[in-house]
Amino acid sequence: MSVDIQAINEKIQRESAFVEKITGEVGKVIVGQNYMVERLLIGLLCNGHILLEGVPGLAKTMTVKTISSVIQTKFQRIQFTPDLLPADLLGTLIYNQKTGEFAVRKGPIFSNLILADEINRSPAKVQSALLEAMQERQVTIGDHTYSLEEPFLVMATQNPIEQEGTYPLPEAQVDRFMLKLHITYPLKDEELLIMQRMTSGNGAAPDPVVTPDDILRARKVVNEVYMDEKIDRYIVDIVFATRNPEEYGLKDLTPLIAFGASPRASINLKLAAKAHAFLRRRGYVTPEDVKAIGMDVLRHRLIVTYEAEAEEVTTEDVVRRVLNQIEVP
Amino acid sequence: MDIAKQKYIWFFAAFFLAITPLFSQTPDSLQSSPQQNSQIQLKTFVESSNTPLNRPVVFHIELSWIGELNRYQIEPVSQPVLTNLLLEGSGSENRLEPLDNGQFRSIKSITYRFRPLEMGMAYIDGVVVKYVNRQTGEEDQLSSQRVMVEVTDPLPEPGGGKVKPVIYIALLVIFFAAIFYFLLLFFKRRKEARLQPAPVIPLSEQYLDRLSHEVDPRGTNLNEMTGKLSRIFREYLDQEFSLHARESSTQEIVNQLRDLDMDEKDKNNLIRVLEKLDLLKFAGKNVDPADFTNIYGTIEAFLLKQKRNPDSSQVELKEEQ
Repeated sequence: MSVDIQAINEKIQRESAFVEKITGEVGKVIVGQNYMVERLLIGLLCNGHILLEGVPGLAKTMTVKTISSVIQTKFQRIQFTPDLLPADLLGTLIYNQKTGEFAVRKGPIFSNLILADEINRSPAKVQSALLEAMQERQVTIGDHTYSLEEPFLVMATQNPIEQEGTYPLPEAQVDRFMLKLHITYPLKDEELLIMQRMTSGNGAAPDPVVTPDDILRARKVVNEVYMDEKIDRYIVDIVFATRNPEEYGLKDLTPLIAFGASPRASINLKLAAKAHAFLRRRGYVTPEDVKAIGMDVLRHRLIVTYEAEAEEVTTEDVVRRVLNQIEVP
Repeated sequence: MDIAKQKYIWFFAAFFLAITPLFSQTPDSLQSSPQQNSQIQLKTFVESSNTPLNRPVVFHIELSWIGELNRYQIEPVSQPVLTNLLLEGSGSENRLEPLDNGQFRSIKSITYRFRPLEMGMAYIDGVVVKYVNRQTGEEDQLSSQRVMVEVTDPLPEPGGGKVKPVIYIALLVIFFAAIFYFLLLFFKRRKEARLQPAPVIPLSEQYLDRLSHEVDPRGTNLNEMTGKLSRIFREYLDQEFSLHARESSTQEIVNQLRDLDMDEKDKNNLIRVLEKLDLLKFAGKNVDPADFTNIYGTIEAFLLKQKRNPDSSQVELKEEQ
């Protein structure tokens, strides 16, 4: 069967024009962090959510806020604290003394781009409320169920250095995030530019150049990106290698992996690879797309054993080995 | 005759009858008549009336008389009839024994050695010995009675239990020595074969060979051929330049190629081939024969030039059209 790649490519060229606009406008405010911006776009294009780990001060909030303003969507930043309640997040019914009725007061979740800051500082019930809303894309307050607006993207952050008094997300809930990113410090030149820009007092404001409809249209095109069966099999091989490493010549990983990646990993890897190809203006997926996004999709879906922890082997080490070992088609 | 005289006669008769067997028969022998008259005596006996199965039965026939050895001419004695015994050998001897009165007793002795066949009773039938008195020319014969022997359980062989393990150990030692020898020979020959300089076939030539055998540029299923071509090319890059090309994406190979000390033109051509192969493999298109031939030709030309001058990095590749 022959696929009309030319037609897909043309459509991609047309519909992906906003990508450059976004990166251009974000670049006015944010220095570097191309990796984070690109992954945020992948999340938007795949309708997925992102878990972000990084030390404070790396422009996480500013990046999401800037993208939000560029794509003309609503933005909410929710600081998760130990005393936060689900109602603070989702909304609640307020009794109106004048009318004698209960009125709905929607919570900050009713927005397009949500930054759930330090999600692991709130107890499990708040985390569950957020993750349920992320999954169902709807919230029930009283008798009514309210759908959340599209596009809807949650970017949750975790601080890797202060773990005392936190409520780590259960593995089953972490699995609901499409990508988990590790944000690192900027490069020396980038840091210099950040310092100069932020202290000049005349920072440029981003222009709203993209509409939410552009994003929704682009999602449809992402679904049309062609993925050959060879790539499908490659993805399945990667995911299976996390479950049965010995079958892929990775016998030494067997005692290090307690649980491999779930089928949700395969699905998200395929979706993210398509979005990655879209961002590269390509109408078909190559192994390069899978490898580029593989770490972000898989790193939070594996559970390593105590033996691995004792040897200071992280899930990233395991995923890296798998990606470097599986033969590309 | 008075009563006292009769008593004496009866007494002597009874005494005579009582002592007669003592002179005529021993437990293991029989004597023949007429020993009293001819003065020649025949005695047959076995050395033991109970013989283990694994021991021989030794049977003696002994003729003896007073006087010179040549006093009697003894006819050859035929072999006795045997039951549950088998003759193993026989021998004879003549000897003289001095007596107290200055005379000699001549003894002619024949000895048989039998092997018991089964446990139980064994029998040696009586023998008849004919003789001639050379002084009187009188001929006569002597006969003996049947002798029986009880064959009992065999005795353990002295030292027999130790001999067998020694033999087994010796055989094992010989066996292992032989194996060791052949192993030594095998490894020696293998080492010699390894030391012999093997003909070195350049890697590029090996892959050219694979290319011609495994990929048919005029084949009908060009999609499949593209996959094979790509795999062979990546394996070659992997082995020739240690690029881990089989597990790397095209972009990763490209990044590594850029770091290689190779002519820029070659690098660009290789990169173009890799990208084109990606397009053919993953874009879901039916492979255009012209595209395939072009890529095949480029790879083949690259391998040919590598074969001609493997150390040269100034390889000119066929340009893609």
